This record gives sequence, structure tokens and C-alpha cells, in this order.
Amino acid sequence: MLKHHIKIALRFFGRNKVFTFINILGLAVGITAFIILTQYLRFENSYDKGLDNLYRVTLASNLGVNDFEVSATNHPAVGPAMQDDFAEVEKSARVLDAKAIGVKAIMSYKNNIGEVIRSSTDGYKTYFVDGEVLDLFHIPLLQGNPESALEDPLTLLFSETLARRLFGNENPVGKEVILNSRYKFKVNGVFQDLPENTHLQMDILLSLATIGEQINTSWIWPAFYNYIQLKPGTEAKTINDKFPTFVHKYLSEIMIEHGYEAKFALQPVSDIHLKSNYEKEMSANSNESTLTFLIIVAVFVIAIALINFINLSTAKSMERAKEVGLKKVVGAQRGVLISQFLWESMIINFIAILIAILFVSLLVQPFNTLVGVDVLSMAMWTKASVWGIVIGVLLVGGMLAGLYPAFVLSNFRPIQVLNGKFHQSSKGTFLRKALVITQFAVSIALISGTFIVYNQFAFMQNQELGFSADQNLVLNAPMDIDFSKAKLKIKVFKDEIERSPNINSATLSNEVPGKPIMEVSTVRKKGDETVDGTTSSFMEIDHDFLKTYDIAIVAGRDFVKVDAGDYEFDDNSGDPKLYRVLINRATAKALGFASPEAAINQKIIYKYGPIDRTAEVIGVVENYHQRSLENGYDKILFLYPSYYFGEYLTVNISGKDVASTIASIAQSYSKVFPRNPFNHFFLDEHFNRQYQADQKFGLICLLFSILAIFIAALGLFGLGSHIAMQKVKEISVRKVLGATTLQALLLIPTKLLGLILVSGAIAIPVVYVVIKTWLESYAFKIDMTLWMFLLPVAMVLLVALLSILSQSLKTAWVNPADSLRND
Amino acid sequence: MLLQLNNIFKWVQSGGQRVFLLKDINLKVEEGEFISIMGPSGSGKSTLLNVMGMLDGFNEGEYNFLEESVHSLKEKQRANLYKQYIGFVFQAYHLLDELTVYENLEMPLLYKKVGSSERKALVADMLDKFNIVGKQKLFPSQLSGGQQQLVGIARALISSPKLILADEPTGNLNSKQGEEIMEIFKELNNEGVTIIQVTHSEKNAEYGSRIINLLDGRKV
Repeated sequence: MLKHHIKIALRFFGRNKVFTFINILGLAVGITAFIILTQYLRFENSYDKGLDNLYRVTLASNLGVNDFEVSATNHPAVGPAMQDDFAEVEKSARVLDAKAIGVKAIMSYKNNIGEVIRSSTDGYKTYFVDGEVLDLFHIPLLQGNPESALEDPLTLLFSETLARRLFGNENPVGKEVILNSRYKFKVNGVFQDLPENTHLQMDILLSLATIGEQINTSWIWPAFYNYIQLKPGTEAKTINDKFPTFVHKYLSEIMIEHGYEAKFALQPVSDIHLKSNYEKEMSANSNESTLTFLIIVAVFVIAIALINFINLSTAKSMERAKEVGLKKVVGAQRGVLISQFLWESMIINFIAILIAILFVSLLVQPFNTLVGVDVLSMAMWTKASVWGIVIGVLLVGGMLAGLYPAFVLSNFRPIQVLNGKFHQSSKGTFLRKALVITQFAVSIALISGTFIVYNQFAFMQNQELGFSADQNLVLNAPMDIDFSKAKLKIKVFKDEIERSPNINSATLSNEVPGKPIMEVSTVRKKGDETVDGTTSSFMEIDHDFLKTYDIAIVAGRDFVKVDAGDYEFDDNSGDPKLYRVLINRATAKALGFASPEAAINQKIIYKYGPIDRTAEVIGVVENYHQRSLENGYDKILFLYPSYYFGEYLTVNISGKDVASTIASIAQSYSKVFPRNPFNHFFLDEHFNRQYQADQKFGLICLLFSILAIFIAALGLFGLGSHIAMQKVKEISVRKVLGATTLQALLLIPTKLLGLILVSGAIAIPVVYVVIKTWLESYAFKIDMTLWMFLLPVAMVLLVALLSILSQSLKTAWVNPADSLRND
Repeated sequence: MLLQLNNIFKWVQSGGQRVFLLKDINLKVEEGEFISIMGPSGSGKSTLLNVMGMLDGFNEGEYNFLEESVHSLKEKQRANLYKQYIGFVFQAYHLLDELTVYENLEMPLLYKKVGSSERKALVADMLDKFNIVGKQKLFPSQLSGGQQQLVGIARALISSPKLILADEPTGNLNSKQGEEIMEIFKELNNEGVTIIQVTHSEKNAEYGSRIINLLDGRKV
């Protein structure tokens, strides 16, 4: 019997090549998309899994004003104190970004042929860590002793890849590496490269002991990631409940002194990648809502493919009616017929899956390149989970899509079928219409969703940033330098390069636009209480900054050289020193000044560490986008220190002969700042890097929307040809009665138009609500307009029309005599 | 007695009125009879045939088939009954286009779960009997109308029914082909198969042992 089923199925496919091709191609593409998306989701969900009972201690603090901000980092004394106080804590480890203490930019070592190599560590993720990190995160050492490798000060571990890059095949253990020209670290071992699916991405591990024992009791330096391993069976809540008392015990005095409140919480490490978006995250995390969106897309794509299959199969059922009727007459039970059609469905799904496996295999490289991580690999075909998905799709898809047609078909009454009085029940037509409407609605939703998402991204990238980004070249300011002479050397460098006609100006600053400003503190008007103040970012600049960045002054004046102040040290005269600062429009507003002008010459008080400082506002500058347009304008206070504060040198170039301009800047740089490697980037690229994740997301949306539409169009083509075929008689009768070819041609699209309008009416409100929520997370966003919804409807209509036009034409041109003769 | 119809009525509701398709039909059929049903279009011939073949139901009356009261049977039991004892021959042949002659003949046996070797033997017998051995690998579209009907009859016969119901079996054939088909029916009847055919043609009706005339659903 099975042989018979398969034989009938294959012959039927052979006679209905277009139908079969559309079905298989649609399913194959749908399954391909589904497999790829599920793999992507699986990858995103695999971050830091298996690290049970491991938590990060987060710190929420309010700086004495309004909102609490949650930071991923906390004080270095937290871990040791928790181990002392809580019996539930098994182990703890701390991690500190080396940049936080200025260990960056330069590394020197002797390579395998004895040359001294100096390189920047900029590209390498460098952290000070407790040795327990290796244990807590299960990081195996390929060389060195995990118990003692990071015990002593000035020891370090390299990742496998980095060790090989730096030292080739030579054994790195025991070698000396100099950081910042000052600190001599001993290489104590090599650790296995961290997997891609962990938030903890590290290339160089420096021993935390290097920083000194005093940090073990420090409660005023919230820059450390604190990881806590709880004993098995301990609920995080147990500890969270004890935190208020704990915080009071250790921090109450400090909180009063600094005027803020703090709250601690345990965050499961396995939640970090998808659910955490705090300040100072170690790496850019994914967004759970993005993943939810992709799940929806995955389900949509495969649903469209399955709906196609159901639609086409039931539509074809007219042609199978005779077969069914006859088989029933000669003795077939309904069950046998159902199983026959289910087998057919399974065969089609099976072939589609084989093709999908081929497609996925071909897409491994392109997709990995697209998303920037190795999500897919051929090795996945050895994993049971992948085959689980494949077989699941085969069974669920094959059954689900096969069941309805099977029941419809097997339900035919032989007498009606064989006497030719067979009409399709209105119920079946209704269901088919409902399915087509679902398909259109999903397509419209995907197109308009993608469309709006793209518009938002384009909007963000084309918006005026409030500063000139495209002609600004940013250099890393020299670190290996005698700080007492640094300012002078910077002036020498600036003077030298500004002689070139291709260079307009240059400026020194500790931040550049394109990332959040690290330093945040509180500001208030003189005479106000701390709680009435506001938080503000602090940025250190010189008198050329506004000019170089072309940021407008809305009131008052720019810094001049004599404004430079020594903010770091008090003169202990008892009389508070008066500093001069600039603020931006947002800060002026938050401080309560009626207008920018009203702020000029006013005294304000800002906190610098625990100390209140009084300053006079000499100017208010226009708001500019320090961060991506996802965020609002930051409140910024600009200081002009008299000491060296360099992190970045920004050079505004004319844009002529860019290559030779950069070459001459590099030459001057190495002349004035020997021992410092020359690193540079363009500000616009740096700024736009913030949109990478968005662009990736947009691209994936676009890709899968196109696929969904393609599959839907395929199905439409099949259905269109079927409808057209059914309409031959009606069209013929109409033509005999005087309809023109055009009028006959319009018969099909008018019905289609109705379906698409209903789909639009269903899809548009849903998309509107979802997209509105999504847009809420952006501070600067586009307005949704009607055409963003109508255009997708029109597009779907167009695709639908094109895909059935050829069929309609064929039908409309038909000679009535031919088609009527048979009846 | 093969079958007996007592006071069979069948109607459909149309615009609030009953339109009778069959009115008070009484009919006894003995085994071995060859009956021709005649009448103008719409007189209820095919309906009567379908009722007898249990493909269609009726509204009033009694129907006994081989001592079973069909009217009191459930649909499934009725289906089992006709599948076992009745073979159908259609005006439009209704062969399956995807299957070869051989496979078309084999199909009913598959549904009756007949074993593979027995199927082969039965199909071979039929091919032999109807002289179509040479055509067993052809598809229906490669056969003439007469040949297709021959296959249709062979298929109806393959599960050795007691009764063959034929709805205008020669309707789509020319007179020579029609004659051949009727000769075959006569031969089968001589072998003991009961045959009831619906026909328009007086000449074909003559092959039967009894003629029933219908007009507006009534026997006349």
C-alpha cells in the first residue's frame, strides 16, 4: 500500500510540475530560514549557560538626586566582604578593565627573534582579574598553573590566539612584557580562547594583586565587576534580602559623606547577554526584544510556507476529487485515503528539507559574515538538537500541512464527484481565503515593519549631530610621556601640524563623541540643595575643542588659554577657588536657568569626588549628540584643566589629500612623541559604529522579510494560476455575453484586492502598536506616517498582481468556444 | 433474491416544496438477471441506480440486499456491503490518469488488502479475459474510449461482485464499441453476474432480460 501511495504521489508530482516545484521551493526556503533563525536564537541563548549559581553584583546608585542608575560594576571590597559575611557564598572573583587605571595603548616585548616589539593593546581586551576567574568561568589553562598563575603582582596570562600572534611557536611562559613603558609583567601562562558565547571577552589577564592589597577594603571605587559563586541550592533571593543590611554596614558612612544612596543586587551571569543593559557593561549585549522579534519572523516565514502548501493542495483537490471518489467506490476506507495524502505531504516536506539542508550548508559562511559571529558551522549537522529541529519541522510541518488537505480530500462524497456535480464547499473556500489573508497580513506586517525600522535607522544616521564628524581624525593622545612636560609637547605637536594648509585645527580632550562619557557627577546652582541639582557628564577639553568640532556657542564665550584651572588639587586656603566652566544647553535647562543667557556668570556647585567645587559658567554651548540617537542629548559640563588630561587628539582636516595628510601627521606624532604608537580613526566611522548592532538587526529583518514575501508570492502564483483555471468557464461565458478581454482580466484582481485590503486592515494596527513600542526606546525618532503602511499594502498588491497576471492573461485570451464545448 | 426495493421515495426540498426524484418504487431483482433501466433525462434512472448501489440514500421505504435491510444500516456498514458485492461501471470510465491499466485494475485489490501474489494472478486473469494483456503498461490517455471502458469493466469485475451497476456504459462510445461492451455484459450475465444498466438506447436495452421504464421518478 505504501508503495502504491508513493507511486501515485510521484506520478502526481510529475504531472503537476509547477505546483510541485512551487510547493517544494517555498517549503525549502521557509525551512532554511527557520533553521538558520533557530540556530541564531540558540546561539544567542547559549551565552554563559552552564555557569550555574554564578552571579554578578550590580550597583544601583542615585548620586543624591532623582533616578537610580544601575551599573554592572561595583566596589572591589564587595566580593571579599560577602565571602566573610555570607556563608552561602562559595567563591568570588573580581575583574577590572585595565583602561580604568590607564593601562592601555602600549605594550612592548621581545619577539621570537629577540626584537623589541612595541604595539598598542587597543585591540586587545585587557583586564585585571582575581585568579578565581579561571575557576568560576571554567577557563582552562593550556600552560601554567591555574592555582597560582595570577597570585603574584605583575603577572599575566595571554589567550592562546594572542600568544601565538605575539610569540609564534615560541613558549611565552616566563617572558617579560612591559606595559605603559613602566610595568614589567611576567607571562605566567596561556589560557584557552574564550568561546564566542560569553559576555566575558578577554585577551590579556593581568593579576589583580598588581593593584595592591588596599583595594580589598575599598568602598569608594565602583569600577570592578564582582562575580559571586553561591553554594548549590542557594536562592539568589536569600542574598538579595540581606543586601540592605550589608550595604548599611559597609557603605552608610561613605554614602552620607558623598551624598548618595546605593542598592546591591545579584544578577545571574547567564542573564547578562540577553537581559542586561546597565552602565559599564563589559561587552555590547543583545536585546531580548530583538530576539523575540526574530522568533516571530522565523515562525512567520515557516507559517507562510506551510500555508502555501495547504492552500495549493486544497486548491488542487478539485483535480483529485475523481481519484478519491473512485477509490472510495472500489473499497478504500477514509483512513487509507488520509494516510495517502499525509504521505504525499511528507514526501514533499522531506524533499524540501533535503534542499533546505543544502541551502543552509551553502549559507554557513555568508550568514556568519553577515552577523559577525560564527553562528553556523557545518559541525551543526552532527548535533542532535539540529536534527531534532529538522525532524520536528518534517513531522509537524508535514502533518499539519498535510492533515487539512487530507481531510478535505478524503471527505468527498463519491456520488457527487463521479456524477460531475461536484462543487467545493463554501467552508473550504472560506478557510482558503482566511489563509490567504493571513499570508498577506503577515507579509504586509513584515514589509511595513522592516520599512519603518529602516527609516528609523536612516533617520538616525542622517540627522545633524551638532558637531562636524566627517573631517575629524582622532588620534590616541600619547601615554608614554613625562606628564610635567606633556602640555608643552602637545602644543609643539599642534603647532607643527597646523602649519599644513590641509589641517584646520587640533584639540586635546579626554572624550570624543561616539560613546558614553565615563565621568558622571552632580551639579547644582549655588544656593540650591543637592537634591535639587542634576546629574551631568564631565568632559575635559581645551580652548580649541569647540572650534575643531564646530560646536556652536549659544551664550557667553568659549574657553581661552587663561581659563585653564587646576581642578585636581585644592590650595587649602579655606577660600574655595573659583573655576570657569562651560555647560551645554541641556545642563542649563536641567539646572533651572530660564534661558542660556541667564546662566552666564552664574555660580554653580559640582561634586568632584566627595568635594564640592564652585564654578562660574562662562558660556553655554549648543547640544550635540555625544551618543547615538537612541539616547537623548547628554547633559555635559566642560572643564579646561591646566594639567595633562589627554586621551584623544582630534585633528580637523580639510579633506584634500587625506592619505598624505595622515602620513604627515603620523610623522610629526612619532617625532614629538617617540615610544608612542600612532593610532588613528575617523570620527564619523567611530560614531557610526554605535549603529552596527542596529544595522545587523535591520539587515536580518530585511533579509527574512524578502524571503517571506518571496514565498508568499510563490504561493500566490500557484493559487493565481489555479483560480484563473477555475475561472476559465466564467470568463468564457462573460466573453460570449460581450465582455472585453480587459473586463475579463479585471475579474480576478478585483477579488484579490478585497483580500489584500482586509489583510491590510488586520496587519496595520498590529504593526502600528508593535512599532510604536519599539520606537519608544529611541530618544530621536521618526514620525509614523500613513504612507509607511499604505506603501507595503501597495507593494503586496503589486507582487500579487504580477504573480497572477500571466495566468489571468492566458485565461482572458482564451477562446470561449474551446472551453465551453466540453460542457 | 438479490435485492428488493419496497415503496422507495426520494425527494429534495426546493423553494419550500418537495420535488420527488423517486416516487413509490417497488422492485425485486433475482440473482442472474440483466435489467435495463430506461427513461428520458431527469426521469430518475441514475438516482435509482445510485440508490441501489448505496452511493445515495433515500427518504422513505425499505431496501433489502441479500436479506440485509439496507435502510437500517449505518453508513459504514452500507459502504462495506457495496464494496463487497457491487461493482460500478461509469459512462465516463473514471480511470485514474496517473495509473497504468495494470495499476488501475490492481487498485481495488489493494484496498481489500489482497496479498501481492494473489493480486498478480487476479489482474493477469482479467487482462487475459478482456484481451488487454498488451496494453497493461499504458496509461488511460493512451487508450481509445472503448478500450478505457473495457478496463473500467475489468476493474469493476476484479473483486468478483455479485452485481454490476452500469450508468450508461456506452454513452461515450460509438455504436461499434458500444456493441462490443454490450456483448461482454451479456457474456458476464451468462456466467451468472447480475447486471443492472441505465441506458438511453433501445437497442442496448434489448440485451437485458427485463426493462424498467421510469418517468418523473415513477415506474411506468
